[in-house]
Amino acid sequence: MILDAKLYTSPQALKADICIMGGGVAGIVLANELKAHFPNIILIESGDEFYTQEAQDLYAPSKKPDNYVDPSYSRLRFLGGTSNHWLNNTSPLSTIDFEKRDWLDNSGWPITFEDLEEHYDSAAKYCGTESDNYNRSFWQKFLHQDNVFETSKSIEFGIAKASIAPVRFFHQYGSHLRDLPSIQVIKNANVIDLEFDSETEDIKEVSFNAYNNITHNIKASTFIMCFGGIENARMLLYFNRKYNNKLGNQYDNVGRYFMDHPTMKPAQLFTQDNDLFKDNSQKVESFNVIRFIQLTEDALRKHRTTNLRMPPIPANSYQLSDGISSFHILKQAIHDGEYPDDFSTHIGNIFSDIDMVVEAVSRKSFDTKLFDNAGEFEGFELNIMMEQGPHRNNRVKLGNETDQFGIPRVEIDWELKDDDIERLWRSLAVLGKEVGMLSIGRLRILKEQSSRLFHDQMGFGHHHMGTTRMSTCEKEGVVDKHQKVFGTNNFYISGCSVFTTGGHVPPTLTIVALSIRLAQHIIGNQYG
Amino acid sequence: MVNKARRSFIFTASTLSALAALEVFTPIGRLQAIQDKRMQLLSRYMLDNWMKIEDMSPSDYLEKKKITMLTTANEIKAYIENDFQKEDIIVVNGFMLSKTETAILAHIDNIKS
Repeated sequence: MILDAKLYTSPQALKADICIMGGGVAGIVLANELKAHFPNIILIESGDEFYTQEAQDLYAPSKKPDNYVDPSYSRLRFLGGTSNHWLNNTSPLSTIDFEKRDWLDNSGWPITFEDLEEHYDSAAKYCGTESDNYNRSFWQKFLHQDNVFETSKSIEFGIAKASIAPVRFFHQYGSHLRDLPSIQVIKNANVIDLEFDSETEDIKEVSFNAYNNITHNIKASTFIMCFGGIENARMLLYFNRKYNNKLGNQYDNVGRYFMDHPTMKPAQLFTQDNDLFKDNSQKVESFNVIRFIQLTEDALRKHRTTNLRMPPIPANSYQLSDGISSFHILKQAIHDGEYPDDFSTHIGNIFSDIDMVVEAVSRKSFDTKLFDNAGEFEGFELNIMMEQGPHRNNRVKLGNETDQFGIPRVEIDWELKDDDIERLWRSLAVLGKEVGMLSIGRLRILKEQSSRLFHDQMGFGHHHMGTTRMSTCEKEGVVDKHQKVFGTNNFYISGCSVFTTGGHVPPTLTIVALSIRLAQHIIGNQYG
Repeated sequence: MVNKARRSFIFTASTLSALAALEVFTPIGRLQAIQDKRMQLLSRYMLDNWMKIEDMSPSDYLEKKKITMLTTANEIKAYIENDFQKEDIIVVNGFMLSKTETAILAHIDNIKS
């Protein structure tokens, strides 16, 4: 049943077997997986069944980097969470993502790919992409393009699947929850406190408020926090203020190792056969199968680098214009009063590409297209999503401003580090070498455009990972291999805040797989 | 002033060999349609970049690899693929190119001068 906390006129003292905090993807999957095994589950959600500004405003940070997106724009705080606007692009992590890599500091999950592999099929069903794996050999027959990397040891195609239409988790699975008397979904319920018994190391109860100063409590045997990558850390930091960092934070790891998936277009691919990469997706039943270029695990190990998801996107002369990019770089440099690197190169680009520069000015200033050839296909942009390393000093922490409940808003410290950028160039060089060797084409790497690539042209996957990371010990993380918060007996976290490393693919499929695995662990505990 | 005779020689021998190997380029891949002047500019550009990085001239490099006017397009293609395999690569304006193909293009201007 679905209840509205705003309708409670007096404080409620509730009891449950399991209290799930957060009604996004992880929370809904957990409720669904646990419902058959526990007679009394409560799921509380800050938002409503639809968007409300009062809930959304709670995501607003007190401070963030200029080039990082405000989470109150990228997240959605109502039942279904960010699945209410995601593109449903799913891929599993790779075997190497779970390994300790000596070229990537702080890497190494306490679980292996094999520990999660069995859950990816069920996760795919939740995400509307059915099962039948993500194996490119299997899907190649559905795609109408040859596998030009078939003989390569360094480059391969990865597979993503996206449901048509995207699965909105509450819309899809909410009815199951609505109809079950054993599950109470309480909306408009904001967790504001929890009580921890440091003797028994148990969470005893959580308190929540419905925007109306009435506080309610839930006692439960097990508590699971699924607020999302930033909010999990924010709330855990807040609770730890009261309990002297006993909740997984003895070593100051909560909020740290914050990762996202930066996106950008750092390279262009010119091919001998212009049709080679023009069609990289195919509708199969109720979902799209999409292929993208990536490095093989052998190449990652050999070159000591991290992976890139590189879908080649057909681009025209205007989009590939050097002149336009250089024009913007010089314009920004003049504005900043700086002398840019490669000044003569940029000047050369502008003059050798003057028609496209004029075209850009005409489009922007007069909304007029001048040259027909500007729209001609010329090559491919690689619109990459990259794996960022887990850097301890990329973090979320508590700021000085508070929300309406008196809980500090979050402060975000995030940047793309030099070693992340070095690995990006290294991985692209592997691709450049391979396309030349296979006579597929030539790769152009846009290092000269770094000043734009990593600033105004950089986007994000909005995947907030790593802030309550899994590890083998509390010294290196926040939760153990079963996602249980160190220092507690009955407090778990789910979502991509538990990721130790982020991989190069969207995290939702793995979030669902981890949530299914966690549910099975909790069920197993119940039955001994 | 470009020497018409040399340009003719370039296009009938060296350039065509390079063109066969350079079909993959765009806009370089459109060399079949461009005018001499652009080819010369491109070659000059390649030569300038070559000389910034390499100690020996393009012609010496080609001679060392025994690439001559008689080398066929398929043989040049094999040289180029081998360059990439061995990471004998030069970066020109961000393009990752084989040294052989760069030397061939740069050599055109080398011949001219």
